[in-house]
Amino acid sequence: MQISSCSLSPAVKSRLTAAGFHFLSELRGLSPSHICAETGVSQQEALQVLQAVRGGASGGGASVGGASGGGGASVGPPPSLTALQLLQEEQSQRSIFSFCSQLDATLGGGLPVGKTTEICGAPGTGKTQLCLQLVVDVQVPVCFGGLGGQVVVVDTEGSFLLQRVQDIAGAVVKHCSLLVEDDEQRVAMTTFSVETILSNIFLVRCHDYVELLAELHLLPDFLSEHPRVRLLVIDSVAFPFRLHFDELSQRTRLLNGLAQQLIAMATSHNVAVVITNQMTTRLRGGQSQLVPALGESWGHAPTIRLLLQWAGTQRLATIFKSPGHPGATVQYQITSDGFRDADQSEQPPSKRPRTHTVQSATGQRDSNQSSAGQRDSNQSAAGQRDSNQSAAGQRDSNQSAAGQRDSNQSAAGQRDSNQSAAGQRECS
Amino acid sequence: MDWDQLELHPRIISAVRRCALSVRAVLCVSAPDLQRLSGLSRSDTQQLLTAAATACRRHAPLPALLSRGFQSSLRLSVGCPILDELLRGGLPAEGVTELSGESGAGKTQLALQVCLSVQYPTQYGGLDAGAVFISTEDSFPVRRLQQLIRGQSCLRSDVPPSLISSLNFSDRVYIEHAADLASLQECVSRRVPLLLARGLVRLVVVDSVAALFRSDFLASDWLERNRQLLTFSAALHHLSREYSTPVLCINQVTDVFSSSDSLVPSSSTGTPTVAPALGLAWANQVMVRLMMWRLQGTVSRGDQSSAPRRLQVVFAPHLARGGRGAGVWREGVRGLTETA
Amino acid sequence: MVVLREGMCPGLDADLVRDLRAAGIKTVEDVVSSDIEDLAQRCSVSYKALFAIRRVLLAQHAAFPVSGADLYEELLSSTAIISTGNPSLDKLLDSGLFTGEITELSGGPGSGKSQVCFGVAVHVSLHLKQSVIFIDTTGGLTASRLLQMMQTESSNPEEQTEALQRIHVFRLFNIFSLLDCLFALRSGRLQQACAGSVKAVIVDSVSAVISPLLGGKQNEGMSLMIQVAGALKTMAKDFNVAALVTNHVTRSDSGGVQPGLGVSWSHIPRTRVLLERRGEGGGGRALQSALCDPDQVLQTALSHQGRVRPAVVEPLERGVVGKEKTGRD
Repeated sequence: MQISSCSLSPAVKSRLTAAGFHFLSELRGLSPSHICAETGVSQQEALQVLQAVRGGASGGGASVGGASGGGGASVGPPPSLTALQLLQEEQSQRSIFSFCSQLDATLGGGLPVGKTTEICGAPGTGKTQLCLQLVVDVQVPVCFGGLGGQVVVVDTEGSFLLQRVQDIAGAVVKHCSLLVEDDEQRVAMTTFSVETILSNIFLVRCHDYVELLAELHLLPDFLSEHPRVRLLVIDSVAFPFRLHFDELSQRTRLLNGLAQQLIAMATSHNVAVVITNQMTTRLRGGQSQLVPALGESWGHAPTIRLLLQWAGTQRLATIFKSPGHPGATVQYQITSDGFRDADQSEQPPSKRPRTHTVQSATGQRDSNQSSAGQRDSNQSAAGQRDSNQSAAGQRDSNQSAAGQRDSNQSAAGQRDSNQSAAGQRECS
Repeated sequence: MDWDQLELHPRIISAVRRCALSVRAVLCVSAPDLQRLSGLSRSDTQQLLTAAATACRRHAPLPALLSRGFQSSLRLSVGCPILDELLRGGLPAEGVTELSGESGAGKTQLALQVCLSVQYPTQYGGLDAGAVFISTEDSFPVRRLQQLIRGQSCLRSDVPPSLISSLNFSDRVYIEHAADLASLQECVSRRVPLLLARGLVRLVVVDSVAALFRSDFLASDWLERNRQLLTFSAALHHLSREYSTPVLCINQVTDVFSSSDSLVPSSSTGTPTVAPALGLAWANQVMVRLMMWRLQGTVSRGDQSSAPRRLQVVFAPHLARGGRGAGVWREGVRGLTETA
Repeated sequence: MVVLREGMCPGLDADLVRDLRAAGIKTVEDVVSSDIEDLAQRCSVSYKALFAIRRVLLAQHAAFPVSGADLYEELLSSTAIISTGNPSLDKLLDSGLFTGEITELSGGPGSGKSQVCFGVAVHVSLHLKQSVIFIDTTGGLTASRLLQMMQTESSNPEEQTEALQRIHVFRLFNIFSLLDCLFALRSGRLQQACAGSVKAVIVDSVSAVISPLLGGKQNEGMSLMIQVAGALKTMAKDFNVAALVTNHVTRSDSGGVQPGLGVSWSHIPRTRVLLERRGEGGGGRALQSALCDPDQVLQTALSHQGRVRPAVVEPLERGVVGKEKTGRD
């Protein structure tokens, strides 16, 4: 191995090469004092050199910690494994399901552990909601098909509101309690509560990018101390990095380093890393286009990139890139219980909460009509529910069946609230 | 932050001193370059980085259960139980809330009302401190504020009248005028922090953010405008976090003709709709986005009548998309009860 | 520049080394470039002995001159062309990946770089029955995807298992471990460990580990990048393997894309292929190569089930990104 490519301090390296040493093997068998005399490096530096020589000779090149290893995660020879071993490793790992069965299906069972996933979207598309849902879902006990893991949440925007986590956690706990079938699950339910969910979320607030970098530098140690952590959420990466940066190349470099740190953490500690990103407009050929922020080279950082967006009144999630899944677009909705499947039934427009309601007398007449239409659609939705259940019965997992049931219930709840909204409109 | 406070070998400290790097700057230099600059060995640089990172972070990851007692669950009531219910208690104590709407929708009315409700003790939904109102558009509506103060006993029937009369509302609303961007930046970076640091104030209202950013720039200057906008919002975020103070920004709206950019759910009717001004750059900085609409018709309450308004949640991490009807009365903005 | 040591050649004993050192002669280069007569006087050694030592040292350390014809012969006999498994990509690359050379794939996020890498790995291991070394620096390698690709090619589970075992994966996330790995591979230890002849080394992606050290006022990254390049090149040459690396792209102000890592890196790969995502929905991807037919664009469809499948080969109007090389045999 060449001296110039080992991780010694550059000053030492230049001394060594000036003295005629080019390969580590040439230094083998020399005493520290000999090296000092030959090259003029200090005694301590000579010891480090010899350490490097020995490392290079024994373990197939021991990398002493990584630039990103931090806590020494990557000490030892580079681990080589065959694709077959990797496949077994992948198959033994569970993924984190999102409670949106369509999204889970396209991702092959949910968000993969050991990979980095980026969620991009304009404000209000549900990035944070999906994160919060995953934060709760990863804690679902193993006997219910979850991972029973802990979570680290790095909040940079201040949008991690406990109130909302409690909502989602409550819904998930209730959902699981309806599924209890055997004793194991009954026992698991005694400890699975909103309180325990909250106690298994480790929260960090980072106020600027330096704090974020600092936190990521220390996280490998934290993950070693908490081996049950299966999910790391950073909401969002874009927020601290889009402020205060005059020098773009510096930003790109730091982001690339951060990406490598995240990937190293995901692989060595076996956690799913979920990061959110904002959108920005890019002018191209005179027309503006919505693209994920932080530039082109950041796009390579996440292994999987999910895009959330509005299309008319529907919410759509698109897999923009993923090495293991084809690109696909699915619908979802955000209910009071969290991130869920979109209702399959075609909904009349008036069922959605409106963003603008400049209503006149004609508008009132409209709402009368629509409430009549609503009754119809309720009936059809009931039919749908039946068909859903039978479809679910065909699937062997009762979980998805229950999920379906749940989402239908919530949909019904929404319908009720909409009716009352319509009623209110009438009275006003 | 100084190097001497870090637990490091003096040799490492003197080496890093020599290359004149601050604690924060060390984290932004790549590891090989740090070795080159400081001449330290690899293990020393690792120690240095770990020590610097420890110094930069405020606390290790804490279970969310423990942070429940913190400020994050604190809410500032807007002064009406119906609207508070929509907002699940009111404005979050940390974070930037945006309220946008057409002129005459009642944005300023609601903002003034929050300036008063912040002065109540916490058990009545306030934060027991004053408010600073940064006005960039018109002159501050002093007379309307006086009218609202007189109406407090009527609006806040939940608060004992003796408490209301003991509060000196108008003395605790600090008014700032900013006629251009420079004075606005000056205001949020110098004068407002002073008020907040002294504990006189725990609410910042900006009425409106759009006015200056829309008027001071030509369409071609959008890069510079975005930069200024980010600087401004960074200042607001800093204030909100540092003093756990709600920030309420009032924004104008613009017409949206094409809904192709899929930023917002498009309307079903297909008519030109309106969206909050300042575009995506600003929207990314907002945690809670509310909109207000003025509807057709009239509603009446006692001897008063008002045009019906609607307060709508566009997005928020903790709120469902939904809305409530409201009316603007002599004593303030009240939600309409949603009974059949 | 090799340090003189006793026993390097007959006649060079400890005393002589010490004497030479005293005269300021430390390395082979110093001996060769010094005036022998003068040196003989200063060290009080016989001129003849020194001359003999110089001759032996020269013979040991000088490069051996080779004629162009011999080189060509050697090239023809040793170079293999490894098919990528995709006929139209092969056509673009002048029938495939050449051993002893570095081929680069660059493209934006989601343009299919990793998918092409998977395709090559699967083809080499499944059809050519050769070993592949896959260095994954982005965490993007998904073994289930490899299996899926193999399943469309072969229905024999044993064959698939064997092929999967022939793909050796290194997951390295920083530049030092990448360098360690490359040097270890070069020293042959891992070659043995992999049991069987390695025909392709894939690095996906090389930019992920280098770019955190580049940009701003960071100098160290540049030298490390050149070392990675050197290690890759010598490995490709010495072991006669095809090296396939991926690179990211940067976007210029005018909106065009170009491969990342700057000008210094652009001289490293022999062939650069630019992948582009055309249209929405992940349908067609275009490949451009600057190698033999600079005016070719290849449309491929990255299908879910199988490997990268060719669609059409059509001429490209505009210029190509990368470098132009013509007149290749």
